[in-house]
Amino acid sequence: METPDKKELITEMVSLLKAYEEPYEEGAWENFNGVSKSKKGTYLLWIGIAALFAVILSAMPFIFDSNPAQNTVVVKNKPQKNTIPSTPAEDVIHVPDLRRSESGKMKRVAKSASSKSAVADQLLAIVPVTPVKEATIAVVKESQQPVDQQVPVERSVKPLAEPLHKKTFSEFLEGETKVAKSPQVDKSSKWNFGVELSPTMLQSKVNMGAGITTEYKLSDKFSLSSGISYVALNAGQKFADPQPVSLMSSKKLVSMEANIRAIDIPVSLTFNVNKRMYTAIGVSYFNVLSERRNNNYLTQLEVSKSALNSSTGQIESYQTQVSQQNSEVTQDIPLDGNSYLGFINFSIGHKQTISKNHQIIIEPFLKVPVGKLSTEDLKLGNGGVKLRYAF
Amino acid sequence: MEVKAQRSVDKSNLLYQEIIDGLAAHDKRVQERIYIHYWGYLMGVAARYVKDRGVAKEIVNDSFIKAFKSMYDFKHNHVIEDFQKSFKAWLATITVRTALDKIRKDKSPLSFVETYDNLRMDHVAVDDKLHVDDIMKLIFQLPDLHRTVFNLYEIEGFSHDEISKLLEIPTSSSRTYLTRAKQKLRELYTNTIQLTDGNSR
Repeated sequence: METPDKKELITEMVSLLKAYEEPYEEGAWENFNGVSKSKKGTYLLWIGIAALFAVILSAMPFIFDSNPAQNTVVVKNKPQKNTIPSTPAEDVIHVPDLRRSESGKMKRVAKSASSKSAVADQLLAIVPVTPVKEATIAVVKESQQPVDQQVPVERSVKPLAEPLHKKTFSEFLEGETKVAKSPQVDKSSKWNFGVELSPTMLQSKVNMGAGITTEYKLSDKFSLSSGISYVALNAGQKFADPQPVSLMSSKKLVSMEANIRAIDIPVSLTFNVNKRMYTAIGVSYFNVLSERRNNNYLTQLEVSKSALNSSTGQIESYQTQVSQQNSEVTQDIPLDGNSYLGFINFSIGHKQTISKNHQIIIEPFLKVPVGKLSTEDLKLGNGGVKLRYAF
Repeated sequence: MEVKAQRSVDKSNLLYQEIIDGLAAHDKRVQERIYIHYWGYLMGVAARYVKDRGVAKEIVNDSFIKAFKSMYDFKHNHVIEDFQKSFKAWLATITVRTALDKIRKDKSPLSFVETYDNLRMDHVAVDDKLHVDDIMKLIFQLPDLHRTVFNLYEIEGFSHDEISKLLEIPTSSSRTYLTRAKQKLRELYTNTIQLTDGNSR
């Protein structure tokens, strides 16, 4: 019934299934790589956004730091403002306040001559020596007396204190107003934000980048700047002496092109030569979001062709070389998805003020690749002109 | 012929050596080699568990993602022949587990039917040349759970204990499902042959 060469169904099924392989579908890797990279890309984009927030958040303490200082000054001043004896009627109301606030301060002056209180120091500086001593002694004595005895004593103090403070406080307040105003001026000038567009020249190809920038003024001459920008670089490399891809192949790699999209986070130190000119040096964190490389090959094939020889009327075959140039998308994308401390940046900038807080900046720059980026086959060093609008 | 075969062996050895070196050097570029070389095989594995080709591709890609994460720590004895077998088996195991996870995620637990004829066919001989496409058609006529047990035991080589853990079923059930799956396959095959013979007459 059954011939020995016939196999059992299950055994045959199992052996067939075990050995079964589907033919590779062209483009499967590209799809896979694209999908996994896009996931990665989104992830990296979020890192970039997080970095931007980190830069902004790190700026916050500086912004808020100046505010409490201002508030402290204002609060300290308030009692003094109320104590200005402008009319006699007001004197009756304000003198106790003056006395209390002054007595407090004077006490400190009496206890410690080296007190750091701004108000007390200023008072000490302005008020002539002898009357202050008297006033101090009088006020200190008063403060030790019971509350119900305060009113009569106030009257005796008032004539002594009034001529002294009239001049002192008006001057003091003027000084304070200046002090109060000055931090605001500092605040507006210390921070500087901007948007930029940077056309870049990279081996005779123009690439574009765009981003936002921020600058913190350290002193009149120096400032620290950072930002985040999106750059698209088209880099190429031509091989003067094309080498065959492998020993057996006549295919030669002639040139290579790469298209890189990346997030560039520069940090640089700026030196202001004068109000309009500055120079900057810094480094860039370079995060490659996507990379695409094309290899251009030159293939030389020996082919045999046949042609009709018109003189003899016979078909003759002959050997000839055919050159063919073709471009292939390469899978070798070593930069893709990686981050580097990639460039050293040099730049010179010219500021053109268009209104009080608005400036247009033209900044020629040069980026020199370092580390991993400099060892790449591609020449990624680039230069260009940044156009920045700062506010 | 012999020279041709020798060349193909050399070529594939070169590829495996390249993979071994790439893994040792933690070179990301080896991923593409592995993907292209094993994609077809893993598609074959995934296609035994899910009927939908799109889902099978998804399983294969997910398996590669998992494999690419841990393959650099893959232990082997640096003998190409051994590596070839063990690495392939390792990838297949990842794919099987990914497929089972996918099935569980989509519809859990694996459904099965008990309505079987009491036909007892222990031995069915193959008359004509079998084609994988035909086998796949037969396999997908089996209830999910029976097909899965058949695949895991007969093709992947898992033991009943392992299958019971993987599918969270008793070992005895695994044995029963396997027997029934085989019986059903024989029955289905016989029916198909009879039908084809009938038509041809």
